[in-house]
This record gives sequence, structure tokens and C-alpha cells, in this order.
Amino acid sequence: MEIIVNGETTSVPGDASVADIVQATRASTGAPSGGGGTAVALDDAVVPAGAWATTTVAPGARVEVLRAVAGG
Amino acid sequence: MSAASDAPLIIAGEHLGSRLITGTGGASNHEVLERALVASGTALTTVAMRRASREGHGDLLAMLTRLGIRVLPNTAGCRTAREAVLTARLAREALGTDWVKLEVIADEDTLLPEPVELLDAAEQLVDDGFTVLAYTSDDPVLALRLERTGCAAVMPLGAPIGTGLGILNPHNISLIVERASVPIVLDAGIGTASDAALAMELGCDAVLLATAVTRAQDPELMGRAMALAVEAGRAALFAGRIPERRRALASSPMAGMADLSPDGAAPA
Repeated sequence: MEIIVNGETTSVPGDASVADIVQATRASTGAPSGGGGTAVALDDAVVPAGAWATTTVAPGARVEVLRAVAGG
Repeated sequence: MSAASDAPLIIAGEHLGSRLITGTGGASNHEVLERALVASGTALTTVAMRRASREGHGDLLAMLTRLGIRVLPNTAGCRTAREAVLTARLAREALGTDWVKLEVIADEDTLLPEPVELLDAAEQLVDDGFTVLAYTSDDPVLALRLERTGCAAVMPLGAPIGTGLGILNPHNISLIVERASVPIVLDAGIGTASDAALAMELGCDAVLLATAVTRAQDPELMGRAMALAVEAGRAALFAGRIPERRRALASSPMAGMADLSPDGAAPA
């Protein structure tokens, strides 16, 4: 199925969890796979890190994977 | 120095070791940023929440942890209360802090605060248990409204973000300070050390800046300059400056002057 991750249309398996999406995003951006500093919004709602593995996404879902960067 | 000028900055019951808050934005790389942060002596620094990308993966959070600098996430770039509230909640989740520098801007051209959305976001975040440090215009009315909403600190701008124009309306900043019972942090517009000193002389509790240090030709040296300026301005405030006069007032006594001929001619 197709979902939107950080503004880009992305194909993921039908049973993909938020944890899978975070892992794929980290891998594709060269970010460390563990540790804190990352937050996820699924259709404009915060998904706590503790719920990433058990939260699945629907086709067309909008996922934002964010981290802290220098700013302000 | 008097005890009052030595008093630590306290925001929401937390003691901060410096009255200078140096943001992380604008540095050319993390090595430059680290030296500037250390030279500035800051105990609190801002970070932004952005999409994970390939660029800039230097471990910012690890560096700040190593330096013992507390993280203050911002909502930079948000244009509505809805965006800002969600961004603050994401930052809380990612960073484990309920402190937030609330920033809701009206447009990219001025980066000036959008007052209606700002107040709405502040109310929502205070209700949600956040410690809100609100970036605002230099409007004394709005500053007081933000305090009454429950903001832990109110942060009026000296001038638009990144302009380095200093404090455009010192009168308004004084008025905000006089009427406040939460810390007032002069945020944005600082260009050089004298601007930071003036903010403290006007009675601000702290100064928040980033560009003035990170984009200076020598960020480390400017970080040090800003630390000294904040300290100097605070000391001057408590030292009690002399009143301004229109006419000169000699500091050397006139009594006991020698009888010398002013023009070299022999006395008659």
C-alpha cells in the first residue's frame, strides 16, 4: 500500500507499523537506529514511542518522522 | 556585587546557571557551534523539530548532553496554534521535556509573531501542562495577556528575528519589564554586545539570541562578548546609573586650582 512519509509517497507492506516506518526512515537518512530524539505524527496525532510497534497505518496515511535539529 | 544582581535566573522554579540563552541555529557546523555555546556560558539552548533528512546528522543532542546544556525545543516556522501545539507535543515526546519556546509567526517576510494564534496556542499548551516560554512582539498589552494565560516566561523581541537591529523600542521593553511578574527574556534582534547589555539595563531577566553569535565572523569570540555584555548590563542595572544631564558636570574639584595664565601672557 502507499502512504505518505515526510511528504513523499512511499510503498510499505500492508501490515506496516509505525516502528517499521521509523526504522526505514532512519536507515534511508543514515540516522542512528536507536536512541531518543525522534517523534512521530500519524495523521496529525502524536504516536508515543511506546506505541510505535503496535500502531499500524492505513493506506494514504500521512506520517511525519521528526527529530531535533539546530535552530532558534 | 549586590545579592540581587548575583541572583540566579529562575524559570518555572528551575535555576539556570546563566542569563544568556544561546540558540543553536545558524552555525556553519557543530564544531563551531560547540565552541560558541561553551564561550557563551549558556545553560539552556533552543532546538527545532524537523523531518529526518540526510543532512546535518551530527549528533546535536549528544553534544548538548555532554556539555550539560538543557534543551528548549521551539515551534519555529509554525503559522497557526494548531501546528504549534502539535509541534510542542512532538518535541515533548522526542526530547522528554515539557518546556517549549512557543513561536507562532505571521509570515516569512517579517517573522513577526501572530498574536491571536500565539495566545490561543499558549492557552492550549498551558492547559496541557507545558512550561511555555512565549516569543512575542514588544507589545506590553500582549505580554501581560501571555503572563496571565500562565506562560512561565514572556520573551519580547528587540527587533525581527535575524535582523541584528537591536532594541527598536526600549520604552516598550521597559514597560513590559515593569509590569511583569514572570521572567522577561529579550528574544530576537540582538546584533552585538551593546544590544544585549541594553536589554539587561532595561531590566530584562535574560537574553536569548542565536544569529548574532552563530553568524558572527568569530562565533566563539562573540559568544564570550555576549556573556560579558549580559553580566555587565545586569551589574549596571543594579549599580544604579547616574541621571542624564544636559550640561557638563566636572568631576575634578575647582577649589585649589593653581594661578596659571591661561594664554601664556605674563600676569599684569
